[in-house]
Amino acid sequence: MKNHTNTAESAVLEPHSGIRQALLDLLKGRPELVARFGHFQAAFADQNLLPERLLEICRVRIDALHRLPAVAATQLSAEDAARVSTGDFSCLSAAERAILDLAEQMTIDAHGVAGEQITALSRELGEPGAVTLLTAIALLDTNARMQRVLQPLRDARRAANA
Amino acid sequence: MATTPRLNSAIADQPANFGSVMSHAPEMLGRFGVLYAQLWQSGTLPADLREMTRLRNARVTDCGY
Repeated sequence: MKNHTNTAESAVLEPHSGIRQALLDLLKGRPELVARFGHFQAAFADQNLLPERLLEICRVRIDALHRLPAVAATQLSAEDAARVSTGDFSCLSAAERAILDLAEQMTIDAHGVAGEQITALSRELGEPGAVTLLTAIALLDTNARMQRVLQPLRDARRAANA
Repeated sequence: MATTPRLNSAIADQPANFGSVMSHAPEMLGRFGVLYAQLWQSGTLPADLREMTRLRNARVTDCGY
Protein backbone atom coordinates (compact mmCIF):
# COMPACT_ATOMS: atom_id res chain seq x y z
CA MET A 1 0.00 0.00 0.00
CA LYS A 2 2.84 2.38 -0.75
CA ASN A 3 2.95 5.51 -2.89
CA HIS A 4 -0.72 6.32 -2.97
CA THR A 5 -2.04 9.44 -4.56
CA ASN A 6 -4.71 11.29 -2.67
CA THR A 7 -7.29 12.95 -4.83
CA ALA A 8 -8.40 15.72 -2.51
CA GLU A 9 -6.18 17.42 0.00
CA SER A 10 -7.21 16.70 3.56
CA ALA A 11 -10.46 15.18 2.40
CA VAL A 12 -10.23 12.50 5.06
CA LEU A 13 -9.16 14.59 7.98
CA GLU A 14 -11.28 17.51 6.90
CA PRO A 15 -14.42 15.99 8.42
CA HIS A 16 -12.75 17.05 11.62
CA SER A 17 -13.49 20.58 10.55
CA GLY A 18 -15.93 20.33 13.42
CA ILE A 19 -13.11 20.34 15.88
CA ARG A 20 -11.22 22.93 13.89
CA GLN A 21 -14.30 25.12 13.86
CA ALA A 22 -14.67 24.58 17.58
CA LEU A 23 -11.08 25.63 17.99
CA LEU A 24 -11.69 28.69 15.87
CA ASP A 25 -14.68 29.58 17.99
CA LEU A 26 -12.95 29.05 21.28
CA LEU A 27 -9.45 30.18 20.43
CA LYS A 28 -10.17 33.34 18.50
CA GLY A 29 -7.32 34.97 20.35
CA ARG A 30 -4.87 32.29 19.16
CA PRO A 31 -5.30 32.13 15.39
CA GLU A 32 -1.64 31.27 14.89
CA LEU A 33 -2.09 28.12 16.97
CA VAL A 34 -5.15 27.06 15.02
CA ALA A 35 -3.33 27.70 11.74
CA ARG A 36 -0.37 25.56 12.75
CA PHE A 37 -2.66 22.80 13.94
CA GLY A 38 -4.38 22.80 10.57
CA HIS A 39 -1.06 22.85 8.70
CA PHE A 40 0.16 19.84 10.66
CA GLN A 41 -3.10 18.00 10.11
CA ALA A 42 -2.94 18.60 6.37
CA ALA A 43 0.51 16.96 6.19
CA PHE A 44 -1.04 13.50 6.15
CA ALA A 45 -2.74 14.16 2.84
CA ASP A 46 0.06 16.25 1.41
CA GLN A 47 2.63 13.48 1.81
CA ASN A 48 0.66 10.95 -0.24
CA LEU A 49 2.06 8.13 1.84
CA LEU A 50 -1.29 6.80 2.92
CA PRO A 51 -4.53 6.14 1.08
CA GLU A 52 -7.37 8.36 2.14
CA ARG A 53 -9.56 5.34 2.68
CA LEU A 54 -7.17 4.02 5.31
CA LEU A 55 -7.22 7.28 7.22
CA GLU A 56 -10.97 7.45 6.95
CA ILE A 57 -11.68 3.99 8.31
CA CYS A 58 -9.44 4.83 11.27
CA ARG A 59 -11.29 8.11 11.81
CA VAL A 60 -14.70 6.44 11.66
CA ARG A 61 -13.74 3.80 14.20
CA ILE A 62 -11.87 6.14 16.55
CA ASP A 63 -14.75 8.63 16.54
CA ALA A 64 -17.12 5.80 17.40
CA LEU A 65 -14.88 4.60 20.23
CA HIS A 66 -15.17 8.09 21.67
CA ARG A 67 -18.94 8.00 21.10
CA LEU A 68 -18.88 11.01 18.82
CA PRO A 69 -21.69 11.65 16.34
CA ALA A 70 -20.99 10.05 12.98
CA VAL A 71 -19.50 12.29 10.32
CA ALA A 72 -20.22 11.42 6.70
CA ALA A 73 -17.50 9.33 5.09
CA THR A 74 -16.21 10.08 1.61
CA GLN A 75 -14.23 6.91 0.94
CA LEU A 76 -16.72 4.39 2.31
CA SER A 77 -20.33 3.67 1.62
CA ALA A 78 -22.70 4.71 4.38
CA GLU A 79 -23.36 1.05 5.09
CA ASP A 80 -19.67 0.17 5.39
CA ALA A 81 -18.99 3.23 7.53
CA ALA A 82 -21.77 2.14 9.87
CA ARG A 83 -20.27 -1.35 10.08
CA VAL A 84 -16.77 -0.05 10.76
CA SER A 85 -18.06 2.33 13.42
CA THR A 86 -19.54 -0.59 15.36
CA GLY A 87 -16.41 -2.70 15.09
CA ASP A 88 -17.64 -4.93 12.26
CA PHE A 89 -14.68 -5.02 9.88
CA SER A 90 -16.02 -7.75 7.59
CA CYS A 91 -16.21 -5.31 4.67
CA LEU A 92 -12.48 -4.54 4.88
CA SER A 93 -9.39 -6.25 3.53
CA ALA A 94 -7.17 -8.27 5.85
CA ALA A 95 -4.57 -5.49 5.84
CA GLU A 96 -7.18 -2.88 6.70
CA ARG A 97 -8.54 -5.04 9.51
CA ALA A 98 -5.07 -5.42 10.98
CA ILE A 99 -4.55 -1.66 10.84
CA LEU A 100 -7.91 -1.01 12.50
CA ASP A 101 -7.06 -3.49 15.24
CA LEU A 102 -3.93 -1.44 15.84
CA ALA A 103 -5.86 1.85 15.75
CA GLU A 104 -8.33 0.48 18.29
CA GLN A 105 -5.57 -0.72 20.55
CA MET A 106 -3.75 2.61 20.41
CA THR A 107 -6.96 4.45 21.23
CA ILE A 108 -8.02 2.19 24.09
CA ASP A 109 -4.64 1.30 25.58
CA ALA A 110 -1.48 2.25 23.73
CA HIS A 111 0.63 0.08 26.01
CA GLY A 112 -1.17 -2.95 24.68
CA VAL A 113 0.12 -2.47 21.13
CA ALA A 114 2.25 -5.50 20.35
CA GLY A 115 5.64 -5.34 18.69
CA GLU A 116 4.35 -7.78 16.09
CA GLN A 117 1.66 -5.27 15.12
CA ILE A 118 4.26 -2.59 14.47
CA THR A 119 6.42 -5.02 12.53
CA ALA A 120 3.46 -6.02 10.38
CA LEU A 121 2.50 -2.40 9.83
CA SER A 122 6.02 -1.52 8.75
CA ARG A 123 6.07 -4.48 6.38
CA GLU A 124 2.76 -3.35 4.87
CA LEU A 125 3.39 0.39 4.56
CA GLY A 126 7.15 0.76 4.85
CA GLU A 127 8.68 2.67 7.72
CA PRO A 128 7.69 6.13 6.43
CA GLY A 129 4.14 4.91 6.00
CA ALA A 130 4.12 3.27 9.41
CA VAL A 131 5.39 6.41 11.12
CA THR A 132 2.84 8.48 9.25
CA LEU A 133 -0.06 6.19 10.07
CA LEU A 134 0.83 5.91 13.76
CA THR A 135 1.01 9.68 13.96
CA ALA A 136 -2.28 10.01 12.12
CA ILE A 137 -3.96 7.60 14.54
CA ALA A 138 -2.63 9.63 17.45
CA LEU A 139 -3.93 12.83 15.87
CA LEU A 140 -7.34 11.32 15.14
CA ASP A 141 -7.55 10.21 18.76
CA THR A 142 -6.50 13.66 19.90
CA ASN A 143 -9.08 15.29 17.65
CA ALA A 144 -11.81 13.07 19.01
CA ARG A 145 -10.80 13.78 22.61
CA MET A 146 -10.68 17.51 21.96
CA GLN A 147 -14.07 17.40 20.35
CA ARG A 148 -15.46 15.61 23.39
CA VAL A 149 -14.11 18.36 25.61
CA LEU A 150 -14.71 21.41 23.44
CA GLN A 151 -18.09 20.67 21.91
CA PRO A 152 -20.08 21.19 25.15
CA LEU A 153 -18.30 24.51 25.69
CA ARG A 154 -19.08 25.55 22.16
CA ASP A 155 -22.71 24.49 22.53
CA ALA A 156 -22.98 26.39 25.82
CA ARG A 157 -21.61 29.55 24.24
CA ARG A 158 -24.00 29.26 21.35
CA ALA A 159 -26.90 28.75 23.72
CA ALA A 160 -25.84 31.77 25.75
CA ASN A 161 -25.66 33.90 22.61
CA ALA A 162 -28.99 32.70 21.23
CA MET B 1 5.57 -0.51 28.93
CA ALA B 2 7.55 -0.31 25.70
CA THR B 3 10.29 2.28 25.83
CA THR B 4 12.43 0.74 23.10
CA PRO B 5 11.68 2.15 19.67
CA ARG B 6 10.09 -0.47 17.45
CA LEU B 7 11.01 1.27 14.21
CA ASN B 8 14.47 2.10 12.94
CA SER B 9 16.15 5.45 12.91
CA ALA B 10 15.85 7.29 9.62
CA ILE B 11 19.12 9.10 10.26
CA ALA B 12 22.41 7.32 9.65
CA ASP B 13 24.62 6.92 12.71
CA GLN B 14 21.88 8.09 15.05
CA PRO B 15 20.06 5.79 17.46
CA ALA B 16 16.35 5.27 17.17
CA ASN B 17 14.53 7.84 19.24
CA PHE B 18 11.45 9.98 18.78
CA GLY B 19 13.09 12.45 16.42
CA SER B 20 15.13 10.03 14.35
CA VAL B 21 12.22 7.63 13.87
CA MET B 22 9.79 10.42 13.03
CA SER B 23 12.33 11.59 10.47
CA HIS B 24 11.02 8.86 8.19
CA ALA B 25 8.32 11.44 7.47
CA PRO B 26 10.33 14.68 7.48
CA GLU B 27 7.62 16.99 6.17
CA MET B 28 5.18 15.80 8.80
CA LEU B 29 7.82 16.05 11.51
CA GLY B 30 8.65 19.59 10.44
CA ARG B 31 5.04 20.69 10.69
CA PHE B 32 4.69 18.96 14.05
CA GLY B 33 7.76 20.83 15.26
CA VAL B 34 6.26 24.16 14.24
CA LEU B 35 3.04 23.37 16.11
CA TYR B 36 4.90 22.06 19.15
CA ALA B 37 7.10 25.14 19.29
CA GLN B 38 4.04 27.35 19.11
CA LEU B 39 2.54 25.52 22.07
CA TRP B 40 5.68 25.73 24.18
CA GLN B 41 7.24 29.03 23.27
CA SER B 42 4.23 31.31 23.27
CA GLY B 43 0.77 31.47 24.64
CA THR B 44 -1.31 32.60 27.53
CA LEU B 45 -0.48 29.82 29.99
CA PRO B 46 2.54 30.21 32.26
CA ALA B 47 5.48 27.96 31.42
CA ASP B 48 5.41 26.17 34.78
CA LEU B 49 1.77 25.22 34.31
CA ARG B 50 2.49 23.86 30.85
CA GLU B 51 5.41 21.87 32.23
CA MET B 52 3.35 20.46 35.08
CA THR B 53 0.66 19.48 32.60
CA ARG B 54 3.20 17.69 30.45
CA LEU B 55 4.61 15.80 33.41
CA ARG B 56 1.16 14.87 34.69
CA ASN B 57 0.12 13.66 31.27
CA ALA B 58 3.24 11.50 31.08
CA ARG B 59 2.50 10.07 34.52
CA VAL B 60 -1.15 9.31 33.79
CA THR B 61 -0.33 7.66 30.46
CA ASP B 62 2.63 5.81 31.98
CA CYS B 63 4.94 7.27 29.37
CA GLY B 64 8.52 6.31 30.07
CA TYR B 65 10.06 8.10 27.14
